[in-house]
Amino acid sequence: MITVDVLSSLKDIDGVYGSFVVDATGALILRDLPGVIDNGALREAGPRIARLWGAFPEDDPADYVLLEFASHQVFIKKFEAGSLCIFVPPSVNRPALRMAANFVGRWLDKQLAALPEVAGPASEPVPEPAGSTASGKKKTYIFRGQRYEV
Amino acid sequence: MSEELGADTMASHTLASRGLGSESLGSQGLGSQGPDAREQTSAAEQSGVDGNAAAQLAASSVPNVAVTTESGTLVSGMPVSAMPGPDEEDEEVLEVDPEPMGDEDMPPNGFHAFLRHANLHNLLQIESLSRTTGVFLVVSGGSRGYLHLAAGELVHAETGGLSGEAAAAEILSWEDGEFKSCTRTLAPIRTVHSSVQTLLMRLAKASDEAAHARPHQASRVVRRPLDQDAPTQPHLPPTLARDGAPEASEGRAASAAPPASPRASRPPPLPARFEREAKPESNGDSRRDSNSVADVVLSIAGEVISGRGAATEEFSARVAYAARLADLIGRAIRSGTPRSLELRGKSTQTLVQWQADGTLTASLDLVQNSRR
Repeated sequence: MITVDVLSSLKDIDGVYGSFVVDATGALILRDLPGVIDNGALREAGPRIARLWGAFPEDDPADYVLLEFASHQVFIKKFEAGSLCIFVPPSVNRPALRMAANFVGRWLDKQLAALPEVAGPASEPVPEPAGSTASGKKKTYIFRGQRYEV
Repeated sequence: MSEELGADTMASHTLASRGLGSESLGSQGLGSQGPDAREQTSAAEQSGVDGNAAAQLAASSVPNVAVTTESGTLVSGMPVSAMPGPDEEDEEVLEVDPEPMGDEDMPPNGFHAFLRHANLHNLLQIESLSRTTGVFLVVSGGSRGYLHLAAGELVHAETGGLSGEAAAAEILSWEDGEFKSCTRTLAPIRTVHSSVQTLLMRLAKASDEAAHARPHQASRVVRRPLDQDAPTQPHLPPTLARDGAPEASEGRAASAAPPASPRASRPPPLPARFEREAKPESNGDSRRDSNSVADVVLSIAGEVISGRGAATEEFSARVAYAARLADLIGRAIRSGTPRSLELRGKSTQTLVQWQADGTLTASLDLVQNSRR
């Protein structure tokens, strides 16, 4: 079983906020991120991340993509079975980050290759983090003594 | 009912005058106190509560929420510009009370929500997602702070002698208290440059790192009414405001700030890097021997404004596609428009940069022996 523990090793690199993994189709496999980024956002971004590799020339295999935003960056490492996305500050030690991402990518490739061919996601459904902004779970609201489920 | 209002760790969230758009809290059904809960739910759903409002309330991860409104006034459907003015907005103080307040206690406009176990981060995200423009007063214990939002972006924060991101970090570290919109004037100068998502992400990480060292703050019920908001005052000395220097307010004199409190006098619980300026490409990864192959400038519509080098057309198409995907990814993860995009292959590197005028510049370089 693939666990999120492997992603925590990325936090050995100073400044890494967190990371998530999508498979080759962009489906969310793993996450190790603060709850401020919910699974819905990652599921929306996942297919785009998977398609991003299509922007590379055919004769030049993709290695990584670095997206720089106003105050953070997203380092996206391609591995055989998917993409590893890491949220980092601009000041991150990028060579170290690349090495850590290579390590995690290789590990994920091995784990995914070892899984039996089954329909459905390769790992357990990704749990919604505590404090997430969008949960698929039912919420109970109480209004004037009445209980409502949404 | 024990799960209702009045428990510990309570934040009151005034949804009345700010933010939540026409899909949000557009229900009059919640205003009545009918006996049939299902009917109320259904009415609420039909009028939009199951949409954005429910999602946003759900997003707050609040296990139990009680919502009251004054006799069904549909204020939340108004655009911000049509919202009641400051005079009308000078609402009664929300009082955390074991029992919900009656309609007669409610202010004359909009909705108030009492969110038990609400998290300030989530409340801020609700307002951010709603693209709210306004100032929010946060009170926790003896401390008070102000969060200034413009179109959902946190543009300024202040508490005690702090302002800017340090103040935002301080305020967002408070674990309980009250959160309400106020009539304070929006800061004319932006002192917070990080997005709300980024800010919260940094804080979450800082919180993780400090989790073992920081004792858990005991929750408490804030029973006293909120004090009257401090009178509106300029956030910057006029000379600095005219100069428009964003950093000017960071060192704002304590005399211009709200009264200092013991909590506010503490240094913000941030790692040192939080205060550092972003330094692009300062990570020592520039050891590449590259040869430029092509350069293009693309318009917003993806048309080639200028191009140089080989296979410009194909390169432009790839750049336009990658930039569009990057833009969508940025929106999905609520990070905004990217500043740059680097596509690193085994032998080439494509660097795309978003320019202020909306155009894209891109270069294709050959990378030789850059990696081990």
